[in-house]
Amino acid sequence: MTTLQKAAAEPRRGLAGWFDRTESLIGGAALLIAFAAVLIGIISREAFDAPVAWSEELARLAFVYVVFIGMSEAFARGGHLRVEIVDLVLGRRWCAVLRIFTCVVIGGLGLFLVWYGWQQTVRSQMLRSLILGWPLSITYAALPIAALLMAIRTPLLIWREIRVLRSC
Amino acid sequence: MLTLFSVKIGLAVIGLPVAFAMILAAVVYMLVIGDPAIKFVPQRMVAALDTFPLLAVPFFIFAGSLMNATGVTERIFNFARLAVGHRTGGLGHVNVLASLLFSGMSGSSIADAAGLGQVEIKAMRDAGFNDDFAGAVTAGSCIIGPLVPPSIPMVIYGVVANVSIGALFLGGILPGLLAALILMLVVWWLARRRGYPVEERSRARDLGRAALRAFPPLLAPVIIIGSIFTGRVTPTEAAVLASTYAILLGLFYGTLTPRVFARCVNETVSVTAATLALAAAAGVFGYLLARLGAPSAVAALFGEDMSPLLALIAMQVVLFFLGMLLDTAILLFLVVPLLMPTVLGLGIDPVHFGVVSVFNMMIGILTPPFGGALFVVSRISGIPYHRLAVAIIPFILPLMGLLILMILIPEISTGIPQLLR
Repeated sequence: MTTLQKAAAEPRRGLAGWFDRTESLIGGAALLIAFAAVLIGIISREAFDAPVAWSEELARLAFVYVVFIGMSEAFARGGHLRVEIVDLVLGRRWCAVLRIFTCVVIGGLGLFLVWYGWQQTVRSQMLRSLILGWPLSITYAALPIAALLMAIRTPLLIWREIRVLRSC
Repeated sequence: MLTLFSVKIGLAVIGLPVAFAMILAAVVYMLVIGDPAIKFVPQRMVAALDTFPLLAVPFFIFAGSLMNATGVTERIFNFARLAVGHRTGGLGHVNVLASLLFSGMSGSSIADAAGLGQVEIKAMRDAGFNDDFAGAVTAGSCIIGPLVPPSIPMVIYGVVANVSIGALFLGGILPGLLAALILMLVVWWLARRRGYPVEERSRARDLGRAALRAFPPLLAPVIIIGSIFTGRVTPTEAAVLASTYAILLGLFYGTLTPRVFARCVNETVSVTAATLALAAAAGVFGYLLARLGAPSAVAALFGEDMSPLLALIAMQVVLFFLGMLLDTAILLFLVVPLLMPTVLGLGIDPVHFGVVSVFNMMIGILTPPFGGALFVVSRISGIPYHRLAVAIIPFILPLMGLLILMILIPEISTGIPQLLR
């Protein structure tokens, strides 16, 4: 178990805890919306012979939020798939140093995705989804929102690793 | 292309999550060459996820999580225990049979290893089985999950390769059953040699009672498979039905509390994001690889002067070695799209290729240095990873034999889909 995963196993307090709860809430709500949309689609088609076209579109929209918001949460929890050879080879101190570096890199990537993701969101404001007629910017906004959450979380994660470094 | 891969591998090796390494490598490459397409990176990431079939992944994860959390796995295990526990190999057989039954509800090897595995290892330890053997059987049997429908890797392969998920599900049935049979034979052989304990033969009444207790969960695969193959629902809808059924079972048994439900939802979001972040990343990285001509390069490597069979063997060898190092999801999202033009160009049946590849990747999660199933079993049981890596060898070798048979005899994978077409 990595330092991040160990730390993430316990419920956190303060700002990090607020982020955890907010992301869990948004991600969980999006999952349940997708779930309900597909279920309504099946029931209305099979039980009432009245297919609803919007269910698939709504489910897809919610699914995009599940993945991107979950991505930010998994980043903080150390839940993403990664090559763990470094953890096996390096000591605790150097692992923490390397993690600070990766956090900085991911923070930078987050800012890049916020910037370009926001531009994409604005560009797609006038485009409408086929069935619901909602602006496509709602779908595209999932990425900059998640990237922003990730970028904001980065200093918190760096601080956590600095504390690990101090304790070495 | 080499620069792109070097940056990606370099970033991954220093511990950057693979999905981020893929996005970052693509972004850095585009920045360096001044590619104006850089502004479309977010669009490609979103578009890669905006697909309905991929939605089956979170809902099969959700169903597995609910089944584990609401005690359904224990009912299945108890039934399997009374059904085959008295055979030579005892709880080893129970372990395999329970995984086979559970595989009809969850398409994830990790859900099997992490959920059912805890029950299995504890029972085997209590019965006096050797720790390493218990861990090895648990890891070995968890690969049945992604073979027997429903299967999360097959959903992903179906989306990535644009192949019928229903046909892939059908194609996995026979290999899944054969894998279970092989694992049981190895258990029997090792148990005879090592003199492992067996359970007392159960009374018919107890077996009947356990069957009755396990009957509602055992209906889940019937609902999932039946609804897909009668054409009533898509695989995604079947996954939602499976989750709904798991919720109803939890409510019926009184084990699904709001707290348990919330935990399952959070777990599903986390696991889904960790798996499908790769899909978003592959949307960017794969686009760049395609632009740089990677699929053509792969086609030139495998396609020229090679018969389809030889090319298939060569590709499976590559996948096998990559499977020892990389996670299944990474292979499915990154490597399979590179191979598909060659597969189709050579006239290899994509269902055959898909089922064989998924089976191959499942062997990969059992093989060191990065056997995903071994890591999970080691974590839940406390058995050191290196001991599991040795104990699993007698199980891997016959499974590799089955893989070779599957390559040579396509009907093992394509027979049932063709029969029911």
